[in-house]
Amino acid sequence: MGTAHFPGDLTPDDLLYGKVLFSNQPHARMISMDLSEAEAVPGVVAILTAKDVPVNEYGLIMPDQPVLVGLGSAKPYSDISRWEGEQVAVIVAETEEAAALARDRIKIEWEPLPLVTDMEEAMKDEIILHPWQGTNILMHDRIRKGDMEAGWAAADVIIEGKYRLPYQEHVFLQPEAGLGYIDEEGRVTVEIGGQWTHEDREQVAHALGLPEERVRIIYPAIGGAFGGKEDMSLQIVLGLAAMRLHEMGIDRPVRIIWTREESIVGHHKRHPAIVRTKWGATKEGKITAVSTEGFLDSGAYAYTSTKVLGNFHLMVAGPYEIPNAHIDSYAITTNNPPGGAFRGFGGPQGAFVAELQMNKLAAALKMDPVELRLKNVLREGSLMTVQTAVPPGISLAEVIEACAAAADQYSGNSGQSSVEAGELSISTLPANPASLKKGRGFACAFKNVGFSFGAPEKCEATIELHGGREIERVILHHAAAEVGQGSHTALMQMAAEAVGVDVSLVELDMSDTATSGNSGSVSASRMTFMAGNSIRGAAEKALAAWDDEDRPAIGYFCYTPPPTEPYDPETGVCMPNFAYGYVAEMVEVTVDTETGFVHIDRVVCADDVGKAINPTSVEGQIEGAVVQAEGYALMENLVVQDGRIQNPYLSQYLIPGIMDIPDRVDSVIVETADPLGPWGARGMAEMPFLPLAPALVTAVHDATGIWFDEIPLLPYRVLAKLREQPPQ
Amino acid sequence: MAYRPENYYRPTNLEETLNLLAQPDVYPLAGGTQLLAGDDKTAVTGVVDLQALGLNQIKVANDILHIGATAVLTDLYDFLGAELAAADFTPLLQQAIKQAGPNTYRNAATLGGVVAGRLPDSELLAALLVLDAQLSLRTPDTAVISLTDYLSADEAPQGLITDIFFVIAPGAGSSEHVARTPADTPIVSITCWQPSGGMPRLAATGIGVRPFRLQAAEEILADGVTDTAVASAAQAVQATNTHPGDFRGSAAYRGEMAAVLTRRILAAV
Repeated sequence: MGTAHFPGDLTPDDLLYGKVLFSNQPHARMISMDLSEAEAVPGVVAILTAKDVPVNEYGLIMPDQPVLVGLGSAKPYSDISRWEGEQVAVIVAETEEAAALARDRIKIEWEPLPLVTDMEEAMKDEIILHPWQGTNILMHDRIRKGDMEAGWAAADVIIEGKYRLPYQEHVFLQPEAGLGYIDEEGRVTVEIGGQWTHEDREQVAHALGLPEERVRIIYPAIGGAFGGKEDMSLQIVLGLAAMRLHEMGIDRPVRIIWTREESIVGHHKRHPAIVRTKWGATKEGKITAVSTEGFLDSGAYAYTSTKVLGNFHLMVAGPYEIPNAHIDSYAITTNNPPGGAFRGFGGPQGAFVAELQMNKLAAALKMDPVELRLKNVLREGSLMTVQTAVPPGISLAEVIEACAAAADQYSGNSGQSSVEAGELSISTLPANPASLKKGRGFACAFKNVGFSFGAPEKCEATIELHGGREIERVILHHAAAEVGQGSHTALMQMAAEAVGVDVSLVELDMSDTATSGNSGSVSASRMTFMAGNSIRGAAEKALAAWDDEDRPAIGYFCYTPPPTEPYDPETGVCMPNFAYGYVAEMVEVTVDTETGFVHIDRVVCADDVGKAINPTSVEGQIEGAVVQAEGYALMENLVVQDGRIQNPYLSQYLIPGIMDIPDRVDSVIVETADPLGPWGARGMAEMPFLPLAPALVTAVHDATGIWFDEIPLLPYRVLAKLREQPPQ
Repeated sequence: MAYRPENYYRPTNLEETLNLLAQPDVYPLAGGTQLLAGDDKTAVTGVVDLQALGLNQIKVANDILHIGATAVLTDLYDFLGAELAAADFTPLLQQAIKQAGPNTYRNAATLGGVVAGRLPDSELLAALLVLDAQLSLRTPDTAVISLTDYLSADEAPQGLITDIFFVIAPGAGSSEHVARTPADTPIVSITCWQPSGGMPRLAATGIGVRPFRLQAAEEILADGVTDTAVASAAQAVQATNTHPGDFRGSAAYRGEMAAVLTRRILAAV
């Protein structure tokens, strides 16, 4: 057993236990709520409802969601539940059992409202879910570049496609959990797993009607996030419980731990998407035009949908120089579970479309897919679809070549996979050998590093140097969240390097708004890049103070990268990002054509990480992202019907386990320094996710001759299509 | 979600047990893997813990293997390995036990519970079906019923299961399944047992409401396991599919897999 304390492990003396009641109503208006039986349960201390929330609204990009749906709130329309995971009440009791029993005894009368769960229906605006917005189209981004007619006229080959992308659930190891209390300085304090302490503080303070300095957020060890802890889950209700109990004269900590089912119902998902697209190219393999219409189901509330849409919008045309582009992307409000941040942040949906289009073009042109990509990839000085140049340091051509070289170095297709070896790595084995077909696919992608489209971007660090003549201790104060990706290790290494001491002298004081400056979130593959630059600046200042004989010598620095810009509303022209990372993948599969099962024999993943601060962590991120993307491509199937998740258990919603993972993953680390990156480092944690699904689908095509335009490739879907088009 | 029973009983004899179970909304409690893991929508006024009844014995008598209803799956697995390692059916039954769930489940779940629960996807039940297992039911009279009949009845026959037994005989058996991932509940499985000198017995999961014997296919194979008979049997198995489909696999997929697995398993025979 380790020593790290995760939020659910926090068990202070005099603990009270909380439960959250979900609405379980995809669309309904609350008529009445009766707490009398619940309040009568022995051990119940308090039941908090909408009327108890001072400012009953929150939201990362817009405050469109009530903290608690219910009656008696000053927030208009907060009596309406717009998805089944709305929180309705918080029950605080002496025991978990009493809280659960009281939750079950709350009686609510709901008036059902018409459901809007289909994006096409939602866009008709016959039923508008957020009346103050006037439409269910949350966001519409446009790109208008070049002359489309000329682009199509110049094309020798045109490929059209319609793609469907699924939900994906984060399935972080630890479901949401946290502790709320009043600290020794009277601050409303929440210890919880999240991704951005200072944003959590802002949201909690806003909802509680408190100044930010009266709220404190602390992150203990965090059991995974993947974007799923970027938005609020229990932060506000734990703060609310602590504050209201304090007002009742009860200064006792309250802990809430969600079950896996509550977690799956209670937080957002990767956006499902429908994309129609058309690409043209000359017979020499130069892309002439791309037109695309993409729709992301953003569910009931905005969460980060407008930003995810922005990324999708940029990446749906791929990392290619395209002279003529006409792209429309929409985020649509429905009564489905909200879409939000998830590793890749719109990139996976975009890359799936772009890379399959490229591979279909390659097939139509009878051209090697690597060669086709090298003819079109963005290079230094290339203009993107948004008509600005890629920031310097672009290395995609080198990454593609590195991946292709590594893929050919060992031919997996001529080697023996575990399927052939008779190992139980595919569910149907031992299979009929005659039914097995093998194939190989290639894809590449780019991914922004840092916040995009004009979002304020900065990162603060403070370094203290202690000692006499020599530096004996280095203390780094930083808010960067450690969600399991190894950020704290990398930060220690960078602090040691920046100060010029051994890493053993570095101590961390992390992720506490009371002691750390604002780091921004651990998302957008940004923390190594941003924190590294902030640490370098802080170290420089601390060393200058050390030379001035300050003891301790303290240096503070706030790193601000070059500014970015939002899309022009009509043309999309903008400088979207200040840095990128680049990735290419080759996937080899075996398809059992009798059962429809697909097994990944091998993945080669080449990533330009600029500088691998910790190569072992980089390999871990590559392997983790590959397996998570395997789940997205092959087996993760969240079933949402009439706004309700039908399979909120891990026995029903499968993710890859040890017996499902690829036989082999070759990580190829490319190090082309980013001009702005600390020691040249780029972010990389999202990149390896992006190309896997399109590379895998292409490999299945290589094996069977069939293109699949929808994932996951569930065996029954694969088999049905194989029956329509028997493999050659 | 855990049940919140208001009464807990631990009787020491069958008569008292049956009296207690005759009360409304009172349920037997053995390993607890179904009762305690179930939803809490069913009213439960009491549970009758069966552990003091001594029904967990496993023994061989007159070439019949008797498995007490409250014998946990791990004990059965170990007994087979220790006492019946050479028996032809042992690998089939041991594989089916391992497939039933992780060791935490197997340490708690009882064979009687598996049978009484009539678990729809249980390869263990399928294995017992092809071994022609019988059950002793106390109502309080003792009745013997075949597992085939017990599972095929629309409503589970009344009575407390005390003993599951079958004749130990030579033969060969195997099981094939497709699952979303190797340790998952099978989407479809086919289990086969061919007694020495006899014709194959087949049972399926995933293509009906509960595991069942594939009698139409068995009849086709009665005259010999030829290529033609195998093809016809596979077709017959596919035709028996009544499963509506779910998140694990569509109805069409289940039917087709049943045919594929039937062909594969008979090829091995």
